[in-house]
Amino acid sequence: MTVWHAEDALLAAYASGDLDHARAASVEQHLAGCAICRTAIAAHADAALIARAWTDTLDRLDQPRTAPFERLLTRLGLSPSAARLATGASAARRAWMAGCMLVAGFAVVARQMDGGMALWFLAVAPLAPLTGVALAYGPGVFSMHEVVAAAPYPRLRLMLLRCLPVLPMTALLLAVGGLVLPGTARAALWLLPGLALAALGLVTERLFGIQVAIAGLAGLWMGGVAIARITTGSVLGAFSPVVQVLSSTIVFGIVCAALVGARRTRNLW
Amino acid sequence: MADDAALIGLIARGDQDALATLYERHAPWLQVRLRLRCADDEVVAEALQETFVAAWRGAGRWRGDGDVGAWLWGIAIRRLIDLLAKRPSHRPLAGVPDPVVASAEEQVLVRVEYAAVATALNRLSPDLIAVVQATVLDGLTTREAARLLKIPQGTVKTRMARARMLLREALS
Repeated sequence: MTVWHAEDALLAAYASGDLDHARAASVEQHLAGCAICRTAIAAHADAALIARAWTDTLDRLDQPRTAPFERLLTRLGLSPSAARLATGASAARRAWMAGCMLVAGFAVVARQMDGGMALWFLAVAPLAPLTGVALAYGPGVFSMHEVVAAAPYPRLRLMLLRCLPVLPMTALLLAVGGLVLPGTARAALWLLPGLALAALGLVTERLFGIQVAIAGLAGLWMGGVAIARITTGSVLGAFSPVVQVLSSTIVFGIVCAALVGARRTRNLW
Repeated sequence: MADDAALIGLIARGDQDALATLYERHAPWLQVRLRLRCADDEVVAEALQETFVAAWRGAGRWRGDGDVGAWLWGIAIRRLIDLLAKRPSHRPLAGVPDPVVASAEEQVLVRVEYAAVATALNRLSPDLIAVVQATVLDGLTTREAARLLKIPQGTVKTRMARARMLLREALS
C-alpha cells in the first residue's frame, strides 16, 4: 500500500483535464487503488451532477424491470404503458406455453399414428389461441384484471393488445404443426378458425364473463367439428373454404373495429 | 465503516442505504474520470446513473475477488461506450490536453524511468494516445475500444502495435 497521496493541486489539475497524458494516467492508476485520494477528489467533482444522477438512480431502482417481450413491443412503437398491459400476464402465459407444448407433442404423436390422429389435432388446435387468451387474462389468473376492468381504457384496443402475446405462440404452433404433419398446407388450416375463435372470445368475454364465453365457444367449435364429421364424413369439413372465409371476416372485422375505436381515443395510445 | 466488498454484499440483499454509501464513495472519482472521456455532462450523468443501477442489480453476481472500484469503472466505461454509440454526432476524445510544465509531483508519482516513458507517451499522436488510453488504461477489449473511438478493430490493433513500438524505442 502506498503511503504517498496526490496533492490537492494535482487532483485539481487532473479533474480539469490540465495534466499531460502520462501524468493523467498516473493519477488514474493511483486513484484506482487509493480510497483516500478517491475521497479527496470529491472536492473537484461536479456535485450538482452527482446529486442529479443519484436522484435518477433512485427513480430507476423503484421501477420494475421490464420483460424482454415488453422491451420488444416498446421498440416496435407501443407506448410503455401499453406494452406493460399486453405482457402483464407472464405467469399465466407460461402455463399456456406449457399447454401449447402439449398440443405440439400431440401433433408429433399424431404423425406416428395414422391420418386419423392428425385430424383430431386439427380439431383441437384452433382452441389453443382461444384458451390462451382466456388463461392469460381471466380473473383470478391475470394479476391486473381488477385494475384493467376499472380503468377508462378503450376495450377493443385492449383486446388487440391482449392478442399480441398470443400471436407468436400461435405462429410457433403453426410451424411445429406444419413440420410434423403430413402436408404442411393442412396444418395451416386451423390458424384462421383459431384466430377467429380467440377474437370472438375477447368480444364475448365482455358480455358473459370469461369462463362462460370460452367454454361456450369451445363447445360450439367442437359441436361444429362433430356436425362436419357426420355430414361430410370428415373432420376436414370444419375447415372448408366457407369456414376459412367466415373466420377471416370475423378476424378482419374485429381488428377494424378495434382500430376505429382506438383512433377515436387516440390520446390514450 | 463497512468496506466496499461488504457493501456489495449488503446491496445484493437489497440494502439501499449500502448503495447510497457506495455511491457517495465512488461517484465523485467516476464522474471526474468519465468527464475526461466525454465532454457532455448529460451523457456523463446518465452513464453514472446506469452504472449504479447495474451495480444494484448485478451485486449478486459479484464474485468477491478484485477491487470494487475497478469493477465499477469497468461497468461505467462500458455504459459510456453504449451511450456514445447511440449519438452519431459524438466525436470521440476530441480535446487532447495541452502538456503543462512538469512539476515536482511527477517525480514522486512514478519514479522508475518516468521521464522516458512520460516523454514518449506524451509525444504520441492523438490517434495513438486515444488507443493506448482505451485499451491499456481503461482496460477495454479491442472491440470495445473500436466502438468507443468509432474506428475499425483492425485500426485499433495497428495503432496499438505502432504505439507499443514507439514506446519501446523510447525506452531502449
